[in-house]
Amino acid sequence: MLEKGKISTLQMEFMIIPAIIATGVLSIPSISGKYARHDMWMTPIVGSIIGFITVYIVWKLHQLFPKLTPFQYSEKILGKVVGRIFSLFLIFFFLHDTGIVIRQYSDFITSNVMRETPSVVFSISITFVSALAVRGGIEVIARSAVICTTIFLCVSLVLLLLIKDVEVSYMLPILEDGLLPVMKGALVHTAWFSEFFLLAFIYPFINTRGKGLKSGMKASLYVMLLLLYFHLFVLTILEVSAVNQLYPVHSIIRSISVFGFFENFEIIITASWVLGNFIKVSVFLYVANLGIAQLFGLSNYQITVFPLSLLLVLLSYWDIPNIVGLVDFLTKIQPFYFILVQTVFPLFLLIIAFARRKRSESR
Amino acid sequence: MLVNWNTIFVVQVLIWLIVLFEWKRLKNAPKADKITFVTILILSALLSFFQLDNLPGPMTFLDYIFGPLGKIME
Repeated sequence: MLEKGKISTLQMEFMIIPAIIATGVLSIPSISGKYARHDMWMTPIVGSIIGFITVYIVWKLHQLFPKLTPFQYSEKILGKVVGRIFSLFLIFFFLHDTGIVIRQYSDFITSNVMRETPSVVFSISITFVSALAVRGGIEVIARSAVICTTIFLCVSLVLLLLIKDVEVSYMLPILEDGLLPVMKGALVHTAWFSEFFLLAFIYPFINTRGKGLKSGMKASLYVMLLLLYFHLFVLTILEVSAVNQLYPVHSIIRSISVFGFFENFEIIITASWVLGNFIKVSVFLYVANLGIAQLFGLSNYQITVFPLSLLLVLLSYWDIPNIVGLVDFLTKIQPFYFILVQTVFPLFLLIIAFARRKRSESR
Repeated sequence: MLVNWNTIFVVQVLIWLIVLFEWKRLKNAPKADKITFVTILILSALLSFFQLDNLPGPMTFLDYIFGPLGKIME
C-alpha cells in the first residue's frame, strides 16, 4: 500500500469542492452566459446532473473494489494489457488537465492582478507549493484543504455586499429561446462536474466505510449551489454583458463599494482563489502522481513529485498559444472530452465489471 | 524554429536542483524508481527545447477528434 494516510468524509468534501470550483468560478460564467444569456442561472442546476451521475458510478465501482484506485481496478476489469494502457491514458489525461488548470490560474493572475510579472512565475510557484503538499501525502492535502476551503468559502460571502445593486428584472424573460441554449450552457458546466471522478481516487483512503456516497452527493450539491450563487450575482448585476468579460465574478467584486469607503475587495477574493487553486492543483497532482507510482510499481510516490511538477509547468504552455485559444478549448472541446473520459469510461468499466461478476457467479 | 535559451537554462537549473534535492532518497531507491524519475526529467528537458506555445500537441490532437462535435456549440 503506497498511501498509508486516512481521511474523513468531511475532509473529502473540503478537498473536492475547491477541486471543482476553483477554476470553474473564473471562467464558467462568461462561457455559459454566452449560450444561455438570461437563463444562465439555470445552467449549474442542469449541469450538476452529470455530477450526481458521476458520483454514483464512482461509488458503485468503489463498492465492487474497495481499497483499490481506478489505476488498480482497471487492470482487474479490463485485463492486464488493456488496463495498463487505460491507466497510462488516465495519467496523461490528469497531467494535461492539471496543465490546463495551472494555465488558467496563471493567466488569471497575470491579466488581472500582476500585469508585468511573467506568468511562468505563478505557474512555478503554485506547482512548487502543491508539490510540497503532495509529498506530505493525502492527509496533509486534506488538512490544508480544511483551512483553505474555509477561507475560500467565507470570502465568497463578500458578494452579499452587492445585494443592494441586484436587479432581479435582468433575469426576465425566462426561457426566451427555449431549453436548447440552457442545455448548451449546461454542457460547459458538465466538464467541471465530471471532475467528481476524482472521488474514485480519494474513496479508498476514507476511514469510515459506507458514508462515501452521501458525502459525495452532498459535495456535488454544494458545488451546484455555489455556482448558482455566483451565476445569480453575475446575471443580476452585469446582465448579459457578463459574456464580454473573461472573469465576470472578478469584475462584479471589483464594483463593490460600501459607503464609498470599503472598496477593492477583489484583492481578498483573488487571494482566496489562489488558495482554492492550490488545493485543486494539489489534488490533481496527487492523483497523477499516485497513478504513476501504482502503474510502474514504485516503492513510494514521493520521489516523482518534483519531476512531475516540472513537467506540469511545461505542459501548461504546450499548444496553448493564448487565453483566447484556451477559452475556445474550454467551450468546444473540453465538455465532450471530459465527459467521455470521466463519466462514460467509468460507466463502461462498471458495466464490464458487473458483467464479469455475473458470469463468474453463474458458473 | 527558434530556440529559447532562457527556457532551456531555467529548466536545466530546475532539473539539477531536483536531482540534488532527491539525491539521498534516489541512492537507495529500487531500479524502477530511478528509471521513472530519470524518464520524467528527460521528457521535461526535451520539451524545453521546443517553442511550446506553438508546438502541435495534445490540444491539436483533441481538436482533431472532438472538432466535429464542437460544432454543436456554435
